Amino acid sequence: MSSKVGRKKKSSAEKSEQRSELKERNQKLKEELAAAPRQPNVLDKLSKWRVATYAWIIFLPPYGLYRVWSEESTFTSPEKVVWTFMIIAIMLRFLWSILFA
Amino acid sequence: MKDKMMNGFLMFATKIQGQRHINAIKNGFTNLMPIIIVGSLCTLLSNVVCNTTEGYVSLANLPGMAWLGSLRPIFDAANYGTMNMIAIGVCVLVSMELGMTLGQNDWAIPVTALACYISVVDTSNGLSSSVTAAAGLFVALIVSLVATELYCKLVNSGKLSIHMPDSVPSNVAKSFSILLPCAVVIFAISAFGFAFTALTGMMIPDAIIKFIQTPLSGIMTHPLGILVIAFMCSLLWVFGIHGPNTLNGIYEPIFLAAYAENEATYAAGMAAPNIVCSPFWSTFFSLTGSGITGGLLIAIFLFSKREDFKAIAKLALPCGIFNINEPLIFGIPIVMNPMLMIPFMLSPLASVGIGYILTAIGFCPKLVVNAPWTTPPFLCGFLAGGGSITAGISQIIVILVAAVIYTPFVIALNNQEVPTEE
Repeated sequence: MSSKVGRKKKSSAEKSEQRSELKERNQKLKEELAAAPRQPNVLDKLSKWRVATYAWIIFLPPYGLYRVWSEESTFTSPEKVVWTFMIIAIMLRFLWSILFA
Repeated sequence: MKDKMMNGFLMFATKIQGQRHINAIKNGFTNLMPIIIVGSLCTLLSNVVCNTTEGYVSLANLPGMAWLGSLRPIFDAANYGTMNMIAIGVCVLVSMELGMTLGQNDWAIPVTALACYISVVDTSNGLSSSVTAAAGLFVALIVSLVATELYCKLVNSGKLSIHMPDSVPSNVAKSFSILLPCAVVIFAISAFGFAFTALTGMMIPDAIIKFIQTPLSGIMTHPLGILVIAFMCSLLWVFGIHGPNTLNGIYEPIFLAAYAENEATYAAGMAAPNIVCSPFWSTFFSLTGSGITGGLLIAIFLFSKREDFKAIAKLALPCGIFNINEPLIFGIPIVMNPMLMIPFMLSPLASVGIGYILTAIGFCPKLVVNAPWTTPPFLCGFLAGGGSITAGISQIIVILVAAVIYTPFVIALNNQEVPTEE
């Protein structure tokens, strides 16, 4: 009888040890997830300044280009490269449609 | 049991989050999002506002508004510069993101990736839209990942760098140190493309489209496929992990390619081919936030007797209108809440399913404009459908269905004791 109770106590102690180990591991994984490099914030891409820049890119691409590269610009370097490429394409297409329409 | 499940999902999320290629795709597409939004809005303005073609539902066709037609070249040019250059954008952005992860921040990376991409595609007709637009998106993605990985390996090994004397200016020395890695990567990929075509009689892009893109697209844009993705995203949220953020590196390229195809056919005045695409996801999965928590807000306001829920719902409402629901997810909380996790997972499945059926039967049009994901419900559907009221109504229908799904659980929670601070 006493050996049975002892075994039960032992297994419940093992279980609680396992549980606390698992919890510890989960906490570590959570910290790892939190420490992982964050995705660029989507809302930053839609800030007022950015939206105004997008509008300038559509209606007056050269000024849009200036804003993309200006000192106050919040565009990251990959974005600057791509937007520059796109603005050049927009201007060329616009000129093409005016000259050869 | 709960801890074990939590451990499994955390391990899964950590593995995906730590996978550098998925991370690079995810970040690259986030940076690409404004470009797609600008392109989409220009398509909308060009077709719904400035289109003077007879028989078209357009503002410019109303009496006295024909002058709007003269503005069309502006929107067409902006649309061309954005949507028609999407593959180039993906190639540059993804390669730069991967380069940064691998500790290289050179301008040479996007240039090399772009050169590699152009070296493997068919340029017999110049840089046609099949190379620069959505048709080349998947190929650009794969080539940019391979080229960047190869380039960074060569540069980091330092074996191919040309060392200049100290008297040479640093910028000149730097360009010499990356000269050989750049050349080797471009030659290697170009030679591989040549050998591939010689051996198989098929160009690399054609093979990628045939053996990777088409099957993947078939799986993910199938009704069952999108239901599985929606389920996985909601399931991760239930464990406190941002599901869409974790998985969008996997599904976004496929949805975006499907959307670009829809947009191109819409701009050409033809019927869009794909039901499941990028705007379908934002219209029927993330409206009022993951889990269609707009339904939960309605259920709380109508049926909840709990003051704590009502207070949180009032605070969460302004964010919810703009599809942001973190205040609800962590405030109620839904995370690890056995009662609310069921409707939280069921609602998006119902929403995506209903959205698919409504589109298949023709009530909701196939979506052709990628509105910003923060656009409020109804307006989002209206814009995504290219100015379609029924698309907006479809969104209202799915929110009401979500409210019906949440209601019994909210009523059941009325009897639960309100947690008090000790």
